[in-house]
Amino acid sequence: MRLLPKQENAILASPMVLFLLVLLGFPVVLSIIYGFSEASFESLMSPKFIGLENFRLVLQDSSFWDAGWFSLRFGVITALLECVLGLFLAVYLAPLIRKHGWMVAVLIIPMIVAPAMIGLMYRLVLHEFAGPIPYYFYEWFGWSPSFLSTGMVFQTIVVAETLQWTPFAFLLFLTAYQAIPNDIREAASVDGTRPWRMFWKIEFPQMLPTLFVAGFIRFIDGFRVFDNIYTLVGAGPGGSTTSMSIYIYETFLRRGEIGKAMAAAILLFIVAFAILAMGQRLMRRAQ
Amino acid sequence: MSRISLENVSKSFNGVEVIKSVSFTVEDGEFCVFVGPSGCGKSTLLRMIAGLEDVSSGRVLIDDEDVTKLEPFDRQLSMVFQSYALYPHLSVRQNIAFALETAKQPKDVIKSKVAEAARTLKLEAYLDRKPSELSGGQRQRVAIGRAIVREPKAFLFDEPLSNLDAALRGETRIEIAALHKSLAATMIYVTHDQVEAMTLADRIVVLNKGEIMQVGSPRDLYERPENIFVAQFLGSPKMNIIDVVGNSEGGISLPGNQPLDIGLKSTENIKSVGIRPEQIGIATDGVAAIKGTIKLCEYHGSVLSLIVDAGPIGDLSVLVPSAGDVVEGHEIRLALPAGALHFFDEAGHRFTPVQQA
Amino acid sequence: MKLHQILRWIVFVIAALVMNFPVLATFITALKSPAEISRNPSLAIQSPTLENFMTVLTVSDRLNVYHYLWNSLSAALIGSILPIIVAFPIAWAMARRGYGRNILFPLIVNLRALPLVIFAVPLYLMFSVVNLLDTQIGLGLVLAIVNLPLALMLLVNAVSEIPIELEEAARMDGARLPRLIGRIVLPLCRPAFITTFVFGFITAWNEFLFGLILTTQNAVPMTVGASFFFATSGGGVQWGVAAAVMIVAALPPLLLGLIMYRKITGSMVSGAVKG
Ligand SMILES: Nc1ncnc2c1ncn2[C@@H]1O[C@H](COP(=O)(O)OP(=O)(O)OP(=O)(O)O)[C@@H](O)[C@H]1O
Ligand SMILES: [Mg+2]
Repeated sequence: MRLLPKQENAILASPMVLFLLVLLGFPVVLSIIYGFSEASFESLMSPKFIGLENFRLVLQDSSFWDAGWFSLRFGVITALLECVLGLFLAVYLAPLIRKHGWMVAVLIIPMIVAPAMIGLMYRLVLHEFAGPIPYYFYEWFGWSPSFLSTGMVFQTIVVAETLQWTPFAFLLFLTAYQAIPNDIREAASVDGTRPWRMFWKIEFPQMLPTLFVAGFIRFIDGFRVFDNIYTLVGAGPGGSTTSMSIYIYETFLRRGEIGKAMAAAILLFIVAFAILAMGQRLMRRAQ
Repeated sequence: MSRISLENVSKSFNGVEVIKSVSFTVEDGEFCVFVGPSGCGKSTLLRMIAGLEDVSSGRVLIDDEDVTKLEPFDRQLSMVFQSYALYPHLSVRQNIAFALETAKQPKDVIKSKVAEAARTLKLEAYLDRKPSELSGGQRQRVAIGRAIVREPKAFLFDEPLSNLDAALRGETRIEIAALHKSLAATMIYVTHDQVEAMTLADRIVVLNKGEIMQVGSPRDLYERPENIFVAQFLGSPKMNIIDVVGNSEGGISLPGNQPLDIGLKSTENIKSVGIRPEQIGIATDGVAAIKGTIKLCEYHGSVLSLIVDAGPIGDLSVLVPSAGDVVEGHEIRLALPAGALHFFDEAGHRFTPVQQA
Repeated sequence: MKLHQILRWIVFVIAALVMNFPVLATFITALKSPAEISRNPSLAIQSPTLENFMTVLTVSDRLNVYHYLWNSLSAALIGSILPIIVAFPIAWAMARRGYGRNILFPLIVNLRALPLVIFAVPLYLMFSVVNLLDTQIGLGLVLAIVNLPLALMLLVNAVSEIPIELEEAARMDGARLPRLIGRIVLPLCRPAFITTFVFGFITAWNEFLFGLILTTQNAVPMTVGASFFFATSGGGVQWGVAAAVMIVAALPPLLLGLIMYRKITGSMVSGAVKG
């Protein structure tokens, strides 16, 4: 039997298409059904159609908006911090790294550890009796902030997230920096360009697209944060660290409001998709 | 072995026609070379014969069978690529055996054929190496070996020598010629190197901008070019072309109103004449001559290559034996022997005037 | 000149210490005896001991770390190998024939950026219907979705980087599609398979949300198991044992990642930049 290229393509695509249909198509259908129905874990198999009621509930729920606002702030702040730190480390350490490649391996360790584990580790590290950080604060300053209190918990998780994911930004910047052809630098330095000026006028513009990419990816990841916050503080004191992901999780598993959780997930999907499309358009324009 | 015909074959990429209705036939056992400047469509034409490129319109025939719609693997042709395209993860032996294994030939047949090819190409010592462990010349031979074991209907070569250094290129050229003799196989060979074309070909196809300019033996092409393009494409330095005008005496004149004796009766349609640098002579006294100044004199060993500023005629390139005493900046008197001239009409086509009685 | 060099080293050491601080501190705590932990929370350990690791690696009612490790391993293997199998054939069609380049490819690649929780809820419902809740296969399938986008991108890249002449030569040599892909493309993509696998394995091992939602007992992965250990032990956390659990949980991806760090850094960057 001789196959046409079209048929061959269809055969080649079939594992993927099948996989997606089963594991994504099915859930999508379920989301839509449950998003417009009332259901709990007891009445899981007999959802009752209630139209847009779930969406109304979600949109009127102030914690939903709080969660959105939290995720947005968290995403923007951590992305900015990570980019600034990562850029600095990449550019400043690049000359050393050229000679000592292993330094990269040391700096990317945090990324290879599960965010959930990092969250748990901070529990230990920040613990007021067993943790070394409060210990050193008392040693040196005779005083220690309570890191997980309502007033401070946001800063704490921002620092934890930033320290874990700065390596990612660092890695992207390092690659971009190393990809700048050396003759450009040499030409500039023969022309008498000083290092600081070299960075702003020559290297930085070359790395600008990477800055957009890194910032965007880090924002997306920060926006959807779950693991490390959840393992460190859960929803936080008084729900103060309820990110969008945590909100949906709690609505679903803790409170068993399946329809509402689903409606929130659908709304989140729409927002995420919009952000994504916008970000990609911006990035394309930047390039 | 087989003959390959193209009938009105055209090819467009995104609406740009790069091959324009090409027809010709490569005879059984013939060594046919496609030459032409870069981008003229040589590779495209070859790839259409191979089946790697679709034909936009027209037909490709192998032994009178229409193969236009067949996939490459159904055409039973072999191809040697410019980059050799050796499978990097397979040993030399496996590379050569690949096509035979594909055709599910028996193990012992494969073994003996590979051994034979390796012997012909002096590759026996390298059979278990990976392509990355070979020199350029050896890789080239593996690529040829891969082509010959299959005993295909025809061989296709796309600039197979262009990645070799000059010495190796000459050597391999001779090996390919020998291979053609011993296999008596149909071969189609693409190059932009005119020395390769002239030395290897039974027949040359000169292409320009997707069109055939002329098809013929190397000697035909060199001695009787059909048009100015072919005349100038073959030969180095290239043929001098001088525009001429008819004069009141019924003869023709060079620019600057210098009459040119061409020994012909009818001169009406001659718009330009061509002469190869090596056929321009240094005029002896008393012969009608063109005066010029030597602008440049390059020493090439056996010959001197001159550029002569011939006033209104423009620059002429001239080859003279290096024995003569020629000095840059000096005057020189050149003779254009009537028998060595080529005539071209308005459109640049060869024009054969009626001989004088 | 010299001074700058020293400053750079200082910056490197500080950055390495600060960013790796939780891991380091946890590791040191894991080496402390319970008595020392309550006495000395500092990093200057006085009498290192392997006691906590022994406790963790010994099976008890309270904690069977091998169970979690096995769950993580099996789910992560499914979750990292399945995407390669599913994505490779279509990656070839996408790279060589532009098939699905306009819709399917962007669709799958964008999945990577969506909050995973969006899928968690419907997948939970679906799994409860087909009895995949709390199974390693179920968890593995979901992890495969997580890894699919990057696997597809890396494999499309890998196929595009194979010189097209090699495939043309194989077609001239009589190879039809199955042999072309099986004998030429597949072996040449091996490095990409390895990177994709390593990357996917680490991601899958480290995944937490789906483990939390889709497993309860039989298929609980290491990441979730470690957090159980904290949750159930309430006020009286045995910090030394807890620390040892976390180190054990973090070790497999860490070792794999450090052995292959050149490969994964490269693919992380290409995955990010092409997306
Ligand atoms: N895949 C393609 N898509 C679009 N245009 C193409 C493609 N392949 C070739 N062309 C165009 O077709 C023309 C002929 O190309 P071809 O490769 O046949 O030239 P060539 O004679 O082999 O040149 P060279 O001596 O440089 O190899 C060129 O103008 C080229 O730009
Ligand atoms: Mg070519």
